[in-house]
Amino acid sequence: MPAEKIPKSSTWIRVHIVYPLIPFFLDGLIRYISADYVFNLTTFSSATLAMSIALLCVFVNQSILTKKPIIPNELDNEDLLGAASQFMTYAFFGIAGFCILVLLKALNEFHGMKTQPICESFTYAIFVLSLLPILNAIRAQRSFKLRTTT
Amino acid sequence: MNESIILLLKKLIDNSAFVGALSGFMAVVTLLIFQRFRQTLPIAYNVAVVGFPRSGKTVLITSIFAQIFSDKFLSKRVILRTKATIERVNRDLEQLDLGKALGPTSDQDLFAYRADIKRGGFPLQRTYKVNIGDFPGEDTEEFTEQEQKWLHENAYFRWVMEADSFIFIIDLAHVLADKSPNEYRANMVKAIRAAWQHLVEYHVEGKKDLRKKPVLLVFTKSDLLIRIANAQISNESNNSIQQKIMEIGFGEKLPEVINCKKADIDKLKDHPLSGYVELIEYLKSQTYRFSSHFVSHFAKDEDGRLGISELVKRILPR
Repeated sequence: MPAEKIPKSSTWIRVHIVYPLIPFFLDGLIRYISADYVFNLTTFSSATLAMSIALLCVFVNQSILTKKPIIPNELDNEDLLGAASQFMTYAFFGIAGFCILVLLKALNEFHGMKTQPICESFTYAIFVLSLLPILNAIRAQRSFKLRTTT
Repeated sequence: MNESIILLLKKLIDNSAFVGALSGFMAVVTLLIFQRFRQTLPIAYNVAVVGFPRSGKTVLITSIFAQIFSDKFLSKRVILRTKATIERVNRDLEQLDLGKALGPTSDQDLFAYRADIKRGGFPLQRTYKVNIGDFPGEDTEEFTEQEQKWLHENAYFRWVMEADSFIFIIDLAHVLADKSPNEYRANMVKAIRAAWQHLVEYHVEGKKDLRKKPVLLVFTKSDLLIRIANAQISNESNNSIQQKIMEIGFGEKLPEVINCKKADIDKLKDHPLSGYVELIEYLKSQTYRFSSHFVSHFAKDEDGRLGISELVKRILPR
């Protein structure tokens, strides 16, 4: 009989944090190589990052919602629900950020509107604010002892 | 209208002071939200108390809270959480003060005492949610079973596997009683060693380094050592001493609190420790943070309840 797989926190971090961010890093790597190894603000795409963060938040939200405390108490249940709704809010903002950026780029490309400055400011905002869900996902993992098997 | 908004935005974006202020504002908001999350999501820290039935696990946990309440530094930094924890700790303390036994923990009482503890100072202050698991001792016998699959299925032992601090209980009444002490010792050594080996096996592929986790071997009901020594000074017969051990160690009536000195316990603990030398050496080789403690709710030393102060320092997160 095969041995049961033991859930691990490192696997949880890989599945819920690293994997959703792969499109963002892959996107950046391809752009970096295509731009003859020049690194600047356009190397990484903030739209891809916004969508990656939204996916990360949805994964974390689902992981929190399916977490069943071994010894339950009312406070843990409240904390789980609170954190899950927090990550769903982040996911909503991530998707909204992605939609706004794509719209601004589309307006620029197809209608010639000069949306580039606004795109840049959104890019800064997304790069800074993206740290928040990532750090909080790690915190949620430590707080609820979230683990998973491969 | 649209153009005027875009123009306004363009002017603002071209203004470096505005962009700087906006970036600063966003950074502050991010930090504030993160700080808020730090408070609402404290780091989990579980303390597993593992021992056979009626070995004094619940009394030990109650003594730990009594010690925390009486400690000037800790009492400010520890907040009991959940209505159930507050009620249970205070009810059990009252019962013990009234000299009433707490009774065995039943199957329905699988329970984690919850307290939040603040460590460090601003801006690096950390909040831990400490859960101390209490459970029906009857389950412990099953903990030593060899069937690996069974361990993952049992609710409490899954909790023990993921704990951050481990307390193994040895009931000193069994050690001191004439009634088959060797059998008890052999059984305890086997049970604790097997429990530890299951833990190591569970974490062998994981990142959790068990060598850095506190592992405590705790001898409960240690007031018996002082009481026996006092009885021997008074030239009481062996039968009378054994009767005292049975009454205090296994009876329903709780003893009076006695005062003692740490040095007294240090002199008296060699005899009970001698039977567990191999187990202690084994656990020492397994972890950097092993320690053994002689504790009692019914004896007081210079620091409060016997051995509890030192134990609290060892098990709580640093």
